[in-house]
Amino acid sequence: MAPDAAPARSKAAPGDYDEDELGAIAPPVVAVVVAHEPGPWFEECLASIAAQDYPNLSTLVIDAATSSSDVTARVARVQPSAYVRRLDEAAGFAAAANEVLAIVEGAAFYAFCHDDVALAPPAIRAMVEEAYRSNAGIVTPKVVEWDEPARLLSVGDSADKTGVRVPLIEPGELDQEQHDAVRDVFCAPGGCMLVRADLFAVLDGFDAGIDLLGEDLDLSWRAQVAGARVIAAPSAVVRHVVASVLHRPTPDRTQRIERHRIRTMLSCYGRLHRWRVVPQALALSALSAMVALLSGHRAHAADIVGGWRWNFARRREIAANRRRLEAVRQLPDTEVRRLQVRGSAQLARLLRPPVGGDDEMLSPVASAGRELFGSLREGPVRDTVLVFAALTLVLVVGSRQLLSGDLAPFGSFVRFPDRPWTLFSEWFSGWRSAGLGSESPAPTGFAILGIAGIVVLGAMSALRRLLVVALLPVGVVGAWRLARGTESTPARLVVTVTYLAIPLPYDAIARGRWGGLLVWAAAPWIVRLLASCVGSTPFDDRRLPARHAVAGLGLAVALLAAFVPFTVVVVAVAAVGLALGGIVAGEPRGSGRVVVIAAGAIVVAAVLQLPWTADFLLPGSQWSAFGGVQSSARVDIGALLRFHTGPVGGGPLGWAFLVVAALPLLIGREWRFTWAARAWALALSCWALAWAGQQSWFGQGTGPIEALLAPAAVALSLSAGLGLLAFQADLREFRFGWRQVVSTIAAAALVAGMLPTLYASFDGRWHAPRSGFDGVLAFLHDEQASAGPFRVVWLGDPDVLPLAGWRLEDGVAYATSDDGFPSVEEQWAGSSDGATSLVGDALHLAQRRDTTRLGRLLAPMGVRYIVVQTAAAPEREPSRPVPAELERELGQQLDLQRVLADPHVQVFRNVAWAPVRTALSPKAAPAARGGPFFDVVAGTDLTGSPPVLAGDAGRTTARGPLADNTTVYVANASSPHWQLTVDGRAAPRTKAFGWANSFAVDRGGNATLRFDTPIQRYGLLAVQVLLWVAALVTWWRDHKRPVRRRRHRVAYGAPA
Amino acid sequence: MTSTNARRIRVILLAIVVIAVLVFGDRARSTPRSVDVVSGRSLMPAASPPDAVSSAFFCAGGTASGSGGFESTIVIANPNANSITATVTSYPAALPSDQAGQASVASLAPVSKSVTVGARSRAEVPLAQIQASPFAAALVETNDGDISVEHRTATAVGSSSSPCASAPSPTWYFPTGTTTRDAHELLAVFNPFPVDAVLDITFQTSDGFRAPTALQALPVPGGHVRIVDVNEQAPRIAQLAAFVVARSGEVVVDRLQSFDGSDPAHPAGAVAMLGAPLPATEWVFPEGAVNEGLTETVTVQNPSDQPSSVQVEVILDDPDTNGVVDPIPLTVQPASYTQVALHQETRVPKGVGHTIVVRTTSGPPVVAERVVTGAAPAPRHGYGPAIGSPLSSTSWLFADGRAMAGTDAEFIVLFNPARDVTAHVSLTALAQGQALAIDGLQQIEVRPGARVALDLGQHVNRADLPVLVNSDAPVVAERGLYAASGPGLSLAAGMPLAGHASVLGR
Repeated sequence: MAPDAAPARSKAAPGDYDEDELGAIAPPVVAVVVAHEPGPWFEECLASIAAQDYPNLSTLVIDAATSSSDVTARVARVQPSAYVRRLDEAAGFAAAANEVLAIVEGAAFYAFCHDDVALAPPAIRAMVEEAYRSNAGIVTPKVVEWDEPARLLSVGDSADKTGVRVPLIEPGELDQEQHDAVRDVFCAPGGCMLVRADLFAVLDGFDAGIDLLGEDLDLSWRAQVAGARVIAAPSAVVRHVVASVLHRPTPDRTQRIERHRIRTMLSCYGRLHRWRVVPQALALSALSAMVALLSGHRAHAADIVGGWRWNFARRREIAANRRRLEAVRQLPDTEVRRLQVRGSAQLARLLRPPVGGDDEMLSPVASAGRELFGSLREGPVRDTVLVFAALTLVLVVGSRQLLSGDLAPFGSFVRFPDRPWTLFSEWFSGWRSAGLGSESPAPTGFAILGIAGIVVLGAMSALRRLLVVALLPVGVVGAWRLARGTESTPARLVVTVTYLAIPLPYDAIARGRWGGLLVWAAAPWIVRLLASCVGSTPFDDRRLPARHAVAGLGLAVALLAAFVPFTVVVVAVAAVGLALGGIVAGEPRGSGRVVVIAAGAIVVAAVLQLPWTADFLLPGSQWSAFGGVQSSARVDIGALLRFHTGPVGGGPLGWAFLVVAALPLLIGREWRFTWAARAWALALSCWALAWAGQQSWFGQGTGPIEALLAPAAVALSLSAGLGLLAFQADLREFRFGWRQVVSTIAAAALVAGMLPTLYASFDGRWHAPRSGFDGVLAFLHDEQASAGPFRVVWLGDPDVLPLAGWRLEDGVAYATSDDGFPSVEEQWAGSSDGATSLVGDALHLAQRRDTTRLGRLLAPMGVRYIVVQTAAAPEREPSRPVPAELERELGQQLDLQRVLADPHVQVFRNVAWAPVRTALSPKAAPAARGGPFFDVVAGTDLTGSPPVLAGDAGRTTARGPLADNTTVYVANASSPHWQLTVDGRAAPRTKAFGWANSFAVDRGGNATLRFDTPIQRYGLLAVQVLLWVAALVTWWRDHKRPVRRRRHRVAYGAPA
Repeated sequence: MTSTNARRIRVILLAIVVIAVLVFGDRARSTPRSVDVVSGRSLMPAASPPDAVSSAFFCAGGTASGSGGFESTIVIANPNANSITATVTSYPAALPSDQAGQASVASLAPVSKSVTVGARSRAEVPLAQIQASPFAAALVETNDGDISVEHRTATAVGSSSSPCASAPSPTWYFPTGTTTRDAHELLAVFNPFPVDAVLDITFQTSDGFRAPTALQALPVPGGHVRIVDVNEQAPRIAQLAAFVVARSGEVVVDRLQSFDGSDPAHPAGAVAMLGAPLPATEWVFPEGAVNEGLTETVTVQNPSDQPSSVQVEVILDDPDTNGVVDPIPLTVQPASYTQVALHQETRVPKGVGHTIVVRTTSGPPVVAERVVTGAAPAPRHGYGPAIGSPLSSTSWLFADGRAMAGTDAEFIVLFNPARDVTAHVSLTALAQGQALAIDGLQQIEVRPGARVALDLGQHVNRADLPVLVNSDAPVVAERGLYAASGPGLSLAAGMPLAGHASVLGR
């Protein structure tokens, strides 16, 4: 199919030529009809092409693997001259249309048509004329409805900067020639378009990676980047069935639109605009996803998220597209963007209620927006969206530096390992490196974080940031869903706003208490589950059988307890609080059930944590492994009641939340009063627990303070929402009086309570420090390579230490790290029973001035540095000094050298140190067999012991050459599972210094030290995995199973 | 009242009660203070704890040349039933102006010597026997507890003995000092740690404040001793109080003083003595007397930046007979000192023994030092400064001591600071393996607020006389060593045993 080239012009006007002459001089046009499972309109489509008055038109029908083989016959019946090419696979419109590049030569234009369009007879001619007149690369006709040609479908489209399509007309409006002016458009819709053949070739055709929906926008955009104009020629009219919407719906339509929109945006922008626009697009997608989630359209939210994921997986393909486009770029993005609409079409659609009837056929993006909106039609959509937009704005503004800048490692916001596998190996291994090591079970948190690391494709740094910043929206969504049963959007908004205004999460961020932030995010979900267990209005909308409730709550508690074990106590206290509240309020029904289910859930959580649970229950277990070490910092009861645990909040405005939450107690009736009573009882229980946990007579740690207060914050927020309901439903029962005044005060208090949080958001990082001590202490890691393996002992208030430790005395903990500044692997202390307690004993000796050679005592433990930390970070942090005598005595040790004296951190180098793996001198080797430990080491000088097995070292393996007659000392807790082989020969192991390992090596060679994890350990892990799988499956089944839902339309007295 | 309202009141009352209980409990709670079990031992030298894994004593000043002016001998007393091993390490030093000495010291390194101290006995280690050097400091380390280490310096004008420091400190104070023509004063600064120390040494003198440039930011390398010649830095000063403050690190500082006897105000004598590491609110000097030829001067130094009000109490023997002396009030300006010459106070009767208590009545704590001089016609001759004792204890150990008829006299003076508890004190001599209860010095009664002076020469005659003082109530014990003829006057508090001491004034 190769029409001849146009003859040289010799006549003045078309009228001067006859039909054949016209055919000879008119630029050859090939109508390309891509047919796939064509409907009954196909013949009319072909006939309309055959009826074109354009003199030099050929027809190419590409059969995109239609299942029946009658396409050729149907074409032959209507247009025998048409060429038909059948494809073996349905690769999509774009790939099918691109066939023209291979099989057509000499064409000046291609008219790409769907199989469901019918062209008016002069359509091709009009478009060709306009192409020449306007020097356009692509021409789009006026598209009208198939059955009602007086109604417009499109006259070209525009798009916003993120590629969201915006129709230039109101789809379905009557055609009164109001859009008949020729004009530039950004996008030529795909039903029918005329494309200059050379442009199509330069652009390599449609993007074959876009199989369906969106290829037209992509081509139009790229054409403009290449310098071509896209023109709407309304004199060309085309009827369109839009069969892909109405008659043969495309699966994954929304998903494809999202994917391809993002792909086009990523492909077409240059570097500068990409950096500008892509973050905005991400934020808008996040907002859309959140709204979809809130409206219960999880699938749509998944489509939005999936769109980005799909493109991330094809980032190399997109980069190649970009390079090809850059090679032909003629216009900068600023020029291209002039035809785009200003602002965000996506956001505008979110904020604008739908108008008109069913318009699904009109625009894919519009329909998606409408779908989103449709989910919210039942409530005051605009208020919800506005409030959530405001909340999002506050969170984004308040967290902007955490999102964009560096998240300093401080408190428990420590760094993650580079690879998820590191965490998995910690979990698999039977060896815990905490302290001086032990054979105790590894925390489940390692495995959970490892899985999370895989989910984020190994981007561990991003995971760390996500686990801080993303917890805020998780808490917000939890608060929103908490009061779902009330069926009152304003009440839900009040709950959400109150929960977000309470300063707990921001104080947790400011103080580096990740556990507190985590529990804050989870608390609304937990309280909701507990409330459902009570099973009374309004939490009876989804009442699960007790077994299912235990499984669901148990799974949630297990997940939380993997990171904050003390959560089990918090959940128990919250359950008891709810129960007591019901009893005091005269509604005891359900009180026993919630306590029993909570107890069952705790048992489930404990079982799911096996074998780690043994760390808390078996002999030798310590409270510090469960609740941590009590901090010296005391939060007074006034601050507890105001949730003022850090720099955010506090002041008189902090009391506002109590005022707001008190309203339903004063004016509420029926279930609103009962649930307010339960909420207050829950809050009081948590306050009492938090208060007791700080008392010296208790003497034990209770985890991060925010973890204890989070359920109280949930309770107050719930009570605030109930206050609004009571205001709507109950207040009119009373005559005008103090209750109305109190209601007004409560409303004002809510506004006032938000102010400190709003103010704190201007900081941009919630007062979190900009830097940690990792930089100044980087040498701790760097020296490992030159000096040999060693440990670092950390001393300080547990609230400021970057790792979990054990109690040295009130408000002082000690801990060890193996590789310099701690990472997430040191966040679970376990028990110090056994060898590790020797570190504390040595420190006690120094503190009592019972030794002047602490360095010598710590040398057999491989301790090279002691870090005394009195603040979590260098700036804006309150100082938590260690006891003066401890600091003084460290400074008076003859073998400790103070190498760093920062106001908040002091570092002492142990000049008498020995590496963790060393060769004992002939004098020290016999001493290592003696005892007791301190008596022996006080007289044994290990100074200068050389490191061995320093090559290719991990936590449980080490390799290196050994000389003959070497006594290898390994400063890890004694275990028969430590094995040393030298050239394949096993060296005999003995216990050294009463707690460590030594190996006698007679003949040297290449040696490997390894900890062989016992097979039982793997068996236990397998059991644990099975338990988790069983719990997840049970939960999933229960989650999907229809449950007894009671849709109670609660009479509030006023429209909710 | 409707049912709902009844429930409403019940719930609100419950909330109010719980919150009230929490508020009340919060206010009633007392924040526990960490008990500093060793702070008292930072105020003055103390014996090593009985269960110590390792302990150290620091003797900063002295010569080890065999013929120097302050020949230093380390005296280690072991009251335990088992012999112990101590390691004595000598750190060489020389005066900066002594070029030859500096050159010889530059080629020397610290040398250690292991010393076995028998059960219930003492060992003496002349530093010159370990390594000869113009000056030397000693570090004594042991892995056993309950030992006491003293530092004896012998000169041509008598010898002195005083406890070695049991802990370093970033601050050291010396209320008295003299750099007149007849006097020579040195400060020996010993840094036993591996890290360098940097010091500022300033003086408040009778002529005003001095901060010699050479003594500001003075570095003392780790494991070194630096000898500071005060006469060079602040010459011809009749009285100066020294302030040694470390910018970084911790050190031990001894003051070495000698007088050639050419000035009637300063009898010939020499003494090496540890400074006071910290100020305290109460200082006790059990021994005291003024008489013809016998002077007694108390100097109170205030190292803080606030004025301090102090009273000097003179508690006479047998007050029923001798009467009561009104306290002498003083105001000590910041970073300054004030002196009281008791021999010039008419209210202090001559020839009556007394105890001096320096008590801070308001303001920051202070440091107090007492200087006793003896010259004819007094029977004892010499120059005897001593820092008071800020601790009382039920056990005191004196490592050095001798009571030889005709040559040396030794007195133990006891003061009972309690107001209503009588102390019963027994003295035990550690006699080469034997714990010898000194006959006649058992269950000595010391009445509240009274003192008792015990002349050991009346009961025992030994050249080797470490003494353990045990009491059933806390007392303060001071030892006086006097040469029977010629100059020789040394006064020093004992060394309290760890676990038995308590801080006075608390």
